[in-house]
Amino acid sequence: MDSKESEFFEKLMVIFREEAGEHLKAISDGLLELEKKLPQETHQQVIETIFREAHSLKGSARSVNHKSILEICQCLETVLSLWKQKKIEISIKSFDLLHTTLNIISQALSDSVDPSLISKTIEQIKSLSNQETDSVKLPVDLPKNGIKELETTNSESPTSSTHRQISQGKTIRVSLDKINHFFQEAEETLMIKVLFKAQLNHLKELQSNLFMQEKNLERLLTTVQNLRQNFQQDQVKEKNSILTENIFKLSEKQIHVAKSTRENLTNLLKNAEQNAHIVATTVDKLLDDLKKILMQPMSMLFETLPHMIRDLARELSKEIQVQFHGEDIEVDRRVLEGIKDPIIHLIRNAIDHGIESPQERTHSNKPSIGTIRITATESEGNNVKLSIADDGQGIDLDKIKQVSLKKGFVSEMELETMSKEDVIKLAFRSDVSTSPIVTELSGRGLGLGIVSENVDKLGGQVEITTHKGRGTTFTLILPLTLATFRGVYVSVGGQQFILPTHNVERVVRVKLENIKRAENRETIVLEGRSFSFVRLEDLLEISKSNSLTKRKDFTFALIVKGAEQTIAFGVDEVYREEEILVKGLGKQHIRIKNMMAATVTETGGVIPILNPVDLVKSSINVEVKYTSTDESNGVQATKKSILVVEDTITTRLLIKNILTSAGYEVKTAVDGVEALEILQNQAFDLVVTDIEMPRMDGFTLLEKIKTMPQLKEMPIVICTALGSSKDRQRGIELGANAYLDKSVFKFQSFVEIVQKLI
Amino acid sequence: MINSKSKNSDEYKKEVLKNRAEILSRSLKDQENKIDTIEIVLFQLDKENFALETKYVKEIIPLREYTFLPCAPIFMYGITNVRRRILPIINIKIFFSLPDDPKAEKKLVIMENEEVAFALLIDGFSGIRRLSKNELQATLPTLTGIRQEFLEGIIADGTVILNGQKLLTSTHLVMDANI
Repeated sequence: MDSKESEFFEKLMVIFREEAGEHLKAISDGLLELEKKLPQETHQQVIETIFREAHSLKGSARSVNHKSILEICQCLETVLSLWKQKKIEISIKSFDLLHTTLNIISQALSDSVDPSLISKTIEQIKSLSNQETDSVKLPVDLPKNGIKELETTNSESPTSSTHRQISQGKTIRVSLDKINHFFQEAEETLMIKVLFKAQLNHLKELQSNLFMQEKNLERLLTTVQNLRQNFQQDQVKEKNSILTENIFKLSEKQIHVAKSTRENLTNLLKNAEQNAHIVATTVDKLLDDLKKILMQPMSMLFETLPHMIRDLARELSKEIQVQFHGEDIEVDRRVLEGIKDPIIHLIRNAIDHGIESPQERTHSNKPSIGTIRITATESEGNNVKLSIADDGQGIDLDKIKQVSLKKGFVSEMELETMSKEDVIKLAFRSDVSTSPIVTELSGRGLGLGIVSENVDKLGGQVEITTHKGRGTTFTLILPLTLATFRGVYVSVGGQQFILPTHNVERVVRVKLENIKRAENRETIVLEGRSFSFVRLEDLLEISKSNSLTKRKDFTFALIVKGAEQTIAFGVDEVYREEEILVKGLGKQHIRIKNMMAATVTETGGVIPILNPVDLVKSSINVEVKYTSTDESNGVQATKKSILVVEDTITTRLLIKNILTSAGYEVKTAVDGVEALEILQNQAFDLVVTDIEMPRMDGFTLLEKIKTMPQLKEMPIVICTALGSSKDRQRGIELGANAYLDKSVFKFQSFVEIVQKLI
Repeated sequence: MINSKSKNSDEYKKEVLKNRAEILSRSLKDQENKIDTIEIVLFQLDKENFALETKYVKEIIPLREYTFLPCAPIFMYGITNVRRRILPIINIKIFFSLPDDPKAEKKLVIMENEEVAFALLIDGFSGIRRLSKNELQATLPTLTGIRQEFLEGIIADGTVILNGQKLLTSTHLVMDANI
């Protein structure tokens, strides 16, 4: 009984969460509307809508007995009703508070919210509503008639009810799980297509075998015929003549049988060919139509953005307006899902590094409000172009060059010959960031790498144009529907593998003598372009003894692009390229290096599909491994040293422990004065400092360090509880390389940041 | 209904009650049986005898064709296709330091729950039996770490009972490479 009840409650909660999400979305949209300057009438209408949404949310919270949401909604409703009656002024501060409240409600939905935060929020909202004159008593909600109220609200609202009627007639709600399951099943029909094709090939083989047999029989017949003539002429024994006569007749009969079998087979083949064609077109049509079911308008993605942009902009004290175009264009929902993270990354980058502060903007004769323009346009073929353009300061190409040079990704000579586009592409390398300051938001150099990887997974491309002082535009070229996966079959060390066709630029035959070896790296040159050459056998660590049919004079190379880099992979054999039904490596999440998925062949065998991005990355790591061993006999052997300046003992020990376990030599100081003393006697590779400290604070320490010529270049990480953008700004101005907020401190990202700096 | 006893007679009532009592007591006995015994699948890893509770086993099939997966953790023997579904093959002998036996007629024990499905590689299958729970002894204290984690207990003849629940939920069998 108990378990049944809780099961039912679980189901109810799922529905509640979904519904609450919709209400929250509507309230948030309304609030964003209100912040614009609306005509008085619309303004009132919007408040009315928000009020109703909040009311409905309260009702549903009560039905699942979600106390904290219920309580927040009650307060929220009070404020909104005061707005409605124009009893209190709608201030920017109150917008901020309400947006925060919505965030807290959505956190409370997943039960991941601190109860003290809820009570704090409730206090704050209450203080808002207390601004009104005491004489008016608020329409406080009465729990007993809540449901009734809810019903009346619905019928009172003509727009929403007509909307609901329309949607009831023409659309239905189906759970995503069901659709996904259905889609998987339907994709299996692709297998029928493959099977028919395979069967056809077998029949063709049979046909040619029969044809051979027929030819052989004809030859036999001629031989026997000659033999018979000889016998007749020589008039040898009659017995032999009869024998040959029999053989002749038999052969003749045999030819007839063979001929008619072949004719039957030819007819069968014709049928099979037709059937295969029918199956292929039906399956293709079915899958195409299915894909259309999964199409959703761009607005599904756009809707989620204004709220986030607003929060970010306020946090960083920037003024930003956002414009959307092309929200009607329909795209496969899997594409929409796949680009959500990249888009958020790009927008964060634009707000954090692209768009300048209002002062800076006014200074350089730009409107103080920055603009982010997100545009979707349908382009040639089955593609949509999605561009995210800001009118900020643009990407500093010189900075990318400097960072890449410093990290040793490119040589000075290479840089000179590089085009502007190639330089920008360097920013996609996972550890290049042009931002002079690392923040929790962005600038760690990972952003663009992730963008390119996710877009690549969907079979799309990224383009960037940037103009110093005028802004940056990222254009993602994406497929409208996910194309059926195609792959190239190769063999490596006696085992078959598949590489996604999308990532294979070309396949070439390379003479072994043309593979050049330099500094532990092999390269090949194709039409003037030079590529790193990596044998897949080595990369996948497949023993070489397996490949019996090793050729001595040439090998095949696949030019593979992944994560904006291109590498030539050596394989033993390249077979064919065709459509593939992709299957996961198991029911559970299985992530194996260099492996992406697998496919099942028509005979039931399994062939692994390789992950091109992993392959490219691991080949680069292999190279790095070589170079570091070269250096190891030199400077590399000594540990890097870090000075930690922090006055509270717990934090000091915590940071020390993290860094020591990450392999650094760590020394500590309790304040700026002690730190300076230590720094005068000992060299460090990096300093981590707090801001608020006795005797000398972190800003002063930073200032002092930057005036000392021998320490000027040393990276400095600020790690503090002062998280305001003003402090961050000050840190940047003084020349800190990273600014981390203690309250959202994560070990892993901290170590990563340190590793990037030294 | 032709019956010598009238429906209302005391005798009839007594009989009915007696029957009821019997039925009630019988089903209780059955329940006791079920609680006290478990059903186990017996198999070999190398030369040693192991067992798993049948409720964790979906089926046992012979190992036919499988594909080796480079770069996978060593306990992943490969992947195989079971009715058009790909399953990872787990070689738990790795955890018990047992040698590979190339001559063994290898079989696969298919295990599955809501989230996880895999095929356990075994060297031979020798049947199913019922085991009374008091036959089960705690594992040897000398066994530690992963081995200890996977073990449910041991029975008098030396057969080691594996813990199916732990196998299905173990973090040691998660294949999540950090790239």
